[in-house]
Amino acid sequence: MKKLMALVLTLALILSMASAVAEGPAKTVSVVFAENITTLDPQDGISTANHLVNSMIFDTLVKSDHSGNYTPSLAESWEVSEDELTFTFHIRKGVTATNGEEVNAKDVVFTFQRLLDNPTLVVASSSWGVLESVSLVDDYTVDVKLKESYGPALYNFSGTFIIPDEAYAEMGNAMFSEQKLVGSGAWQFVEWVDGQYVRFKKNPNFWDKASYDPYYEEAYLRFITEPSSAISAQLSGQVNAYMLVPSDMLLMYGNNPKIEIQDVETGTMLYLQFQCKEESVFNDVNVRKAFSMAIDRDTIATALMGNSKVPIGIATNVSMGYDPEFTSETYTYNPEKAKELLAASNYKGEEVKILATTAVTNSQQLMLAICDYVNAIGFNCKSEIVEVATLGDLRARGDYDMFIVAGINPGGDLFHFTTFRISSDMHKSHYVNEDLNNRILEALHSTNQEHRNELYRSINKTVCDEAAPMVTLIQLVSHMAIDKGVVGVKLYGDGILDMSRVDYQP
Amino acid sequence: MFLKYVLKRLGQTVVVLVLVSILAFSLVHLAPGSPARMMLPDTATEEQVKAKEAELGLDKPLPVQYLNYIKGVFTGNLGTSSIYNSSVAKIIFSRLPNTLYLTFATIFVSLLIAIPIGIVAGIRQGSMVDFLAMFFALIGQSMSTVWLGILLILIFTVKLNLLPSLGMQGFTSLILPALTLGYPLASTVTRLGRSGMIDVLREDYITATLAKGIPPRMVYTKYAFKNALIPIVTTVGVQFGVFLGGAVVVETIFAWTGIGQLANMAVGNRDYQLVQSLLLVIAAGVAIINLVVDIINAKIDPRITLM
Repeated sequence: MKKLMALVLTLALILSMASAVAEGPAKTVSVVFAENITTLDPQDGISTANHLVNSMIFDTLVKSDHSGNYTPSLAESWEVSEDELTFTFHIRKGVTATNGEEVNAKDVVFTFQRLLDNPTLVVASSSWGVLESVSLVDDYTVDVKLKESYGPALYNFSGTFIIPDEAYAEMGNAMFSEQKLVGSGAWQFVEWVDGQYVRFKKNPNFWDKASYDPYYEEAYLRFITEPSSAISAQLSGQVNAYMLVPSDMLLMYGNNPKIEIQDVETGTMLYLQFQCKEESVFNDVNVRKAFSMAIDRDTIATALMGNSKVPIGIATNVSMGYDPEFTSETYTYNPEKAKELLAASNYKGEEVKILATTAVTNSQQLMLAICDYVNAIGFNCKSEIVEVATLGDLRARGDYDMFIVAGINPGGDLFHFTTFRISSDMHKSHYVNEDLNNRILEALHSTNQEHRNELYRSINKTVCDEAAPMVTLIQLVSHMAIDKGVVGVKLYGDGILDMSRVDYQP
Repeated sequence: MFLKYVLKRLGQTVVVLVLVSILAFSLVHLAPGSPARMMLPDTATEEQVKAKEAELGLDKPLPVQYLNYIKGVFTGNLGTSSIYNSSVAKIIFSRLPNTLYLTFATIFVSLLIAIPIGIVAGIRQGSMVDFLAMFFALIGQSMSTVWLGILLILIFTVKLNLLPSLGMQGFTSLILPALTLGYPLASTVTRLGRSGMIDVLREDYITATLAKGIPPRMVYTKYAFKNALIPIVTTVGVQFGVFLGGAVVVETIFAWTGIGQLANMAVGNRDYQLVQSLLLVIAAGVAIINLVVDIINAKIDPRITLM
């Protein structure tokens, strides 16, 4: 009798285990990100966390590959007028929002009209200053007119989420403030618990089910600030993926066979900007180049920055303007040549100071290493950590010798870096190069991506040759810890995170 | 006499709150850098920074800004959070219940553990029980809450898979943060309970009561413990105020969405309006709790009102 019981129990155990294997893992997936969202209005939040949430719930007209290329999404196709001012989008048919309404050209018109009517919305003020008007051509065609031709327009379209007009007409802003979000994305919004998570469920009527019909029925984006807590949660199976794991915390994972650590080369660069005004020592190109050539970037990247990469100029391997064949003397570690350049310059041993904030990874060690390198060839360089707000004020006044901050090319497009940081000189470097500025403006206003790519290559070459107004130091590598079998959790080269196509593939 | 004492303490509390409001306002406004610049993207122009300053009223003289702020406090308007773009009062009061929940749980756990241990250790001074109790207290007082929190997560979540380490999903989510916060408090209360009992048990009236043949258990609980209670009430009250102010580290480690986690986020994002109001609300909480503690102590020992 006892043997029979044991046999029955063993069989039951085997069967239950077999059924568990056949069923696969739980139908809920949880992904951790450190940053909380602060709004549900897709037009009033542009943080990485907000983008993560919006891309789950809403669609955009076009999709970016985050390296400067765009593919259809809600818009099946588009064309640009000859004067490069009007974009005509042809909207996909058969798209429905989670409230059942059809998403068509009227919703696109509503979305852009809301931006025109509310210029203080963050998306309006940060991306759509160039928007002139939007008009309905027919139910599936819409014209978006710009005030001036604008190269990065497609990047802006790829970040503007389409809000269903009928749902908004019914609820107004309560749609966001009372958590009643309606969208046409692959996932349906369920709830946001501030500081804890956003919960989604699979959108059963998603228009692109043919290419994406996830295994998971439910998804969570969890906000955990403390890395050790996030890693513990993953190790104990409470969450399935942790985006942007700090390098120094990777050891906590050990050799866990269930978790895969992915190293992702992002386009985030640490760069050093010089004060180039006439009375500054860095007004002299030889001083700037000597400073740059005295730094052994490869050693810093390996020893200090978690095996990061070394970029050449402001174009990285995940951005426009990148030329794999391009090399630059400015970026070649050559202390002897640096000494010669310094000797040929007007530099007389004046003290120069590098500023950075703690927001920069390993900023203190990085600055000390740089000071060591450059002092060895004759500079008198000091470093100082300052408050973020203090650096903001000093930069606004141009009251610095040098500072180190992080920069990125959104959408893999150099317009942001070149326009704001070089031609508009928003950080008051006082570096002026008319020819360079003209090329930057041309790249900004051209809609021919190939032409822009060429222009960015030449701009990058000039920035390297002149070592002005900045030299880049390190291209950071980020880490993602993802449970084996979980796919579709991505970090792109421009720092954008995405889990809108999360799935399970054993 | 009692009413006079309460009114005097109330007056002191009001003065403290006024001073705190000035201090919070000054700290935030004297911090380096422009709050408006911090709220805007780093691509913002000087004109946009100036416009933002005007919108926030930061272009007005400091005394005017302070008076406007205080006017807002009395009308329930604590301003708008720059990161949430929403009412500061609404944000703070949506999180306050979570902090209160954790605070009450922590104090309940601490007292449940510490009072019996403290009493027994005090009664059996020098015994093995006393030694173990003091060992328990010493470790609790020496240990960092960060370390303890992570240790508990590693044991109960990662190794044993018994308890969740994050979020607020029912009673089980409360256990680890309450233990992390509660252990140091339990240690303090154990020591105070023990020393209080030792002192009281040496009093003549206790000897006399025991000599009268009253059962020791009744003497300890009814006569001795009541007088050993005052320092415990004071300490628990002070700690209550501290927890109310947000156990920043513990709330951050366990992803507990309370005032502490909010303060951490507000400081990290330079949300000046939120930081300023959090300081004020926390200080008000501490001041009110201290007032209540003083009143309770005066009830337990009326001699306090004479001081």
